[in-house]
Amino acid sequence: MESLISLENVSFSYVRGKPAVDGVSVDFFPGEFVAIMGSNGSGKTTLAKLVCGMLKPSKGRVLIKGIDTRKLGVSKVSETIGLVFQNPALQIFTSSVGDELRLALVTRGTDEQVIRERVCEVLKLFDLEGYLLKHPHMLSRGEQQRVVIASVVALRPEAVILDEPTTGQDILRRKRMMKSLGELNRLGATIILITHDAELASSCDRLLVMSDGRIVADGTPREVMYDSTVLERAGLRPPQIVRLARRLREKGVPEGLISVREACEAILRLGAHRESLAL
Amino acid sequence: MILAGYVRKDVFLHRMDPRAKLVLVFCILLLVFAVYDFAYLLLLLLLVSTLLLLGRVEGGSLRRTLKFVAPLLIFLLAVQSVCYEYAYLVVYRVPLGVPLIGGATLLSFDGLIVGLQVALRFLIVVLALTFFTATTDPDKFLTGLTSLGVPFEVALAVNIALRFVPQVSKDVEDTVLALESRGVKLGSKNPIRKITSLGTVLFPLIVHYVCRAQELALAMEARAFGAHDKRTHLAQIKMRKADYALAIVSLTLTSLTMYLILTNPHLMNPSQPFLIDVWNNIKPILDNLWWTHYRY
Repeated sequence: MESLISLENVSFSYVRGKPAVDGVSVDFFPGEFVAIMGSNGSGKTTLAKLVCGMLKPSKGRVLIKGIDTRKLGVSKVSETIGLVFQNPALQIFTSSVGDELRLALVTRGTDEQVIRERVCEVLKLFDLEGYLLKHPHMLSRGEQQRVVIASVVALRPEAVILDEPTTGQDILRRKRMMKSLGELNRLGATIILITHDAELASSCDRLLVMSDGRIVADGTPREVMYDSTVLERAGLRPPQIVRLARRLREKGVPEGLISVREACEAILRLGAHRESLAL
Repeated sequence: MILAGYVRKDVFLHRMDPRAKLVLVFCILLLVFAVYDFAYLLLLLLLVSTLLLLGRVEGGSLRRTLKFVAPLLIFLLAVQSVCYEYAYLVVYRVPLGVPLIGGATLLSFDGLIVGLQVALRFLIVVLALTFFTATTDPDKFLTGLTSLGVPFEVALAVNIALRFVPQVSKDVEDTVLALESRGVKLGSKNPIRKITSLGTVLFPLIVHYVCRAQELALAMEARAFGAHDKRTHLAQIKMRKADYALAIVSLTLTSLTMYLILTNPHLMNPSQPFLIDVWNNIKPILDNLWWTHYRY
């Protein structure tokens, strides 16, 4: 399959001699749901900015559908890739949620009918019905975050990169947001999720771990989360299910469990097995 | 970012009392506005450059400052050389036949000289202030201001403003990128669109900073800011001998210069004979150019 975003040996440094991203080669394919994890300052946000053409690599190159980002402007890249930054307050430009969602569509000269459809669609998708006339700066941080994501998604980019979208969201909203992102992914969008949340990361299809500007692990969450040496070196902790499964390994719980459902099944199976032995 | 931020270094000028440095910078600014002759301005430029060198101000931040003010300097120069009112060493005059602006001076030698002087003055002011901000610890500056009788609240506001500058420039960048990543082009050539999009960028920034200021105020109150009338300072400063010496020398030299210039008219403009000489030399060349017949 042809890759949508391709990084070839990309390096970038803000300060000379201290690379923030150091020789990263990675491909993102259409329709993937990828999580990028890493401790603070490991280069995740820089990587996202490189992908969107906001920073140009000092070494190597970033290809979007085969075209070097050096040849594309940021707004040109934005037709393919949408980026949602960490701080939602700095990304809200209008005085109502409705205008905010329409802003980029209008500047692109989208048909009014289409704009309305798209706005309705993202309002539903991100749980924002009834917010249309509200002032975005009066909303809570979590709500603002959803508005910003919705306004990027309304453009229907082929890939969406989200930088820590779940900060300030309660558990329920976080779950719903993941559901919305999953929905988006099913509709064909590539999702790249930058997060500290191990639970969130383990529900993705693919997991990258960054440490000191390099990608130190790339695989399914099932593989990566059980690779304790890599995680430890990157300063990360696996999700609770993984830690539980590890502790119970001696008792016969199999490794490779990643979701609550899997863990439940494995433990129940074990219990049933024991009971049958006792009988 | 206009002025360079403070970078801690163990250099003599960094250790000096901010009040002494403030006196020095104040003297330089006073002289810059009092004198207008090239000879004096170049001398002042030399002085400021030496200070920047001694204070080991980083070349990178200085370059950024210069890059920022360069368009302004060029604009000042251009405006003065085109619109100088009292020009009599005229290089080019608009032909009388042209409606409305016929007969107006478009380029004059004295205008050019005045433009250069104004630009030079501006440059010296910027460099002197850069010297101050780049070699003075903001905390010490705060203490210095309060000890000079500035109300603490005002001094603190100045200090916070200076401290937030790097953060602001980063936030501006992020906001512009956020707008661009939604496909809104800011690099538009159309000047009207450029200005309206600037408003779009300012909106979230202003809202953000208002909220932030409120948070900052609450955070400070939560740490007992203003709970006691009598307060002490984190950064202690003390005028040492060298500081007194610097302040006294700057003040004395400045007053002496001012007195001499004001009482002796011939000292006012020492480089004038030289400039007239230059004009007399280039005049024959100008006279041979094609527009000669427009000059009269």
